[in-house]
Amino acid sequence: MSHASIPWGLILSLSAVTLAPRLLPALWGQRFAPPRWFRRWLDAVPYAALGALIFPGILAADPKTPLTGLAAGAAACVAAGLRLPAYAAAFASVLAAILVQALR
Amino acid sequence: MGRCVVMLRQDFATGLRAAVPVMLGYLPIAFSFGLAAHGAGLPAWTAALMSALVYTGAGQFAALGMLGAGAPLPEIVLAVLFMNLRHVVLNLALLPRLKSQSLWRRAVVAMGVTDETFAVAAFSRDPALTRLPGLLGLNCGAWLAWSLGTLLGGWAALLVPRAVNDAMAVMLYGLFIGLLVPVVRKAPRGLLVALAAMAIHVACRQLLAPGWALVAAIVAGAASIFLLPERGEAA
Repeated sequence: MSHASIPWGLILSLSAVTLAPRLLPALWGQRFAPPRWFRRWLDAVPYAALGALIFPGILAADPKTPLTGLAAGAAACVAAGLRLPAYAAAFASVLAAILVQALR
Repeated sequence: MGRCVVMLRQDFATGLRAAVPVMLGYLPIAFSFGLAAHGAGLPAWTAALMSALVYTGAGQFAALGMLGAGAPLPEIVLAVLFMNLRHVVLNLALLPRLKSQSLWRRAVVAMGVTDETFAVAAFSRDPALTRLPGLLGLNCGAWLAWSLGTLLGGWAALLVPRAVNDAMAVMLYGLFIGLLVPVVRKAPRGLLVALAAMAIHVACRQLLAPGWALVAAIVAGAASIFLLPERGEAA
């Protein structure tokens, strides 16, 4: 077991920004319906978040070479293209990274 | 009174059974989160505590990625807030089922709603899932799988050899791609939004600190949906 102290500030503030959006509708009751454009934007947020999280960060996943990230990304695309579940894509990307790092 | 308790138990059990496919989906992802958290320096119990208290898959992975990139706390918190805003819409759709319940009971259900449990509850024909105990059973099952899976992953990370540990820096990205590809297949316009967000992210990183660049890319990237015609979109 590690002796690192628990980062309560991080955990509790993340907990707060996760609870607030979940709890607000319970407080509002049924009176509030978000406008159509807002729902449209909200629906698009997960796609934008995933896109922005993937790129360009993946290129710097291995500080030594962007090749590792590119190979890992390609492997994940292939796994996801074969309709394998998300965690299989994650493990495919790790396998590709191990391969690239072993070959270098 | 006795019959009432039996019915509550039955509803809760029905909810738990409906949670099984969600739990099977969560376990390996939570396990990956425990592994990745270990890589970012968070021990198993801390990662599990985070999963139990924060309980937002994509948000937790994003926070981990930003921690690894050295982003300060306010930027991480804001990025996670934006990623969680969709829960407002999910709960606005789900909570009217419980309008006869007290505020705190609605709040207890609201705290445990995720994309997946919402989908199960919204598309299930079982009347148990329109009632409080059924929804609680569904949410509890998913929450337990997420928290325990994280703990197991954190422990497993202690057994992983060094070479594999280095390569695991790419795992988060693989997971994000694995999550993005199937949803884009169902809604191709999502790909345009994701690509727009990537381009905006690249541009913003020249101007802003990494965390703010991510927040800007999420907000502006999602707004690129307004450039597309509304036709053919789910209302």
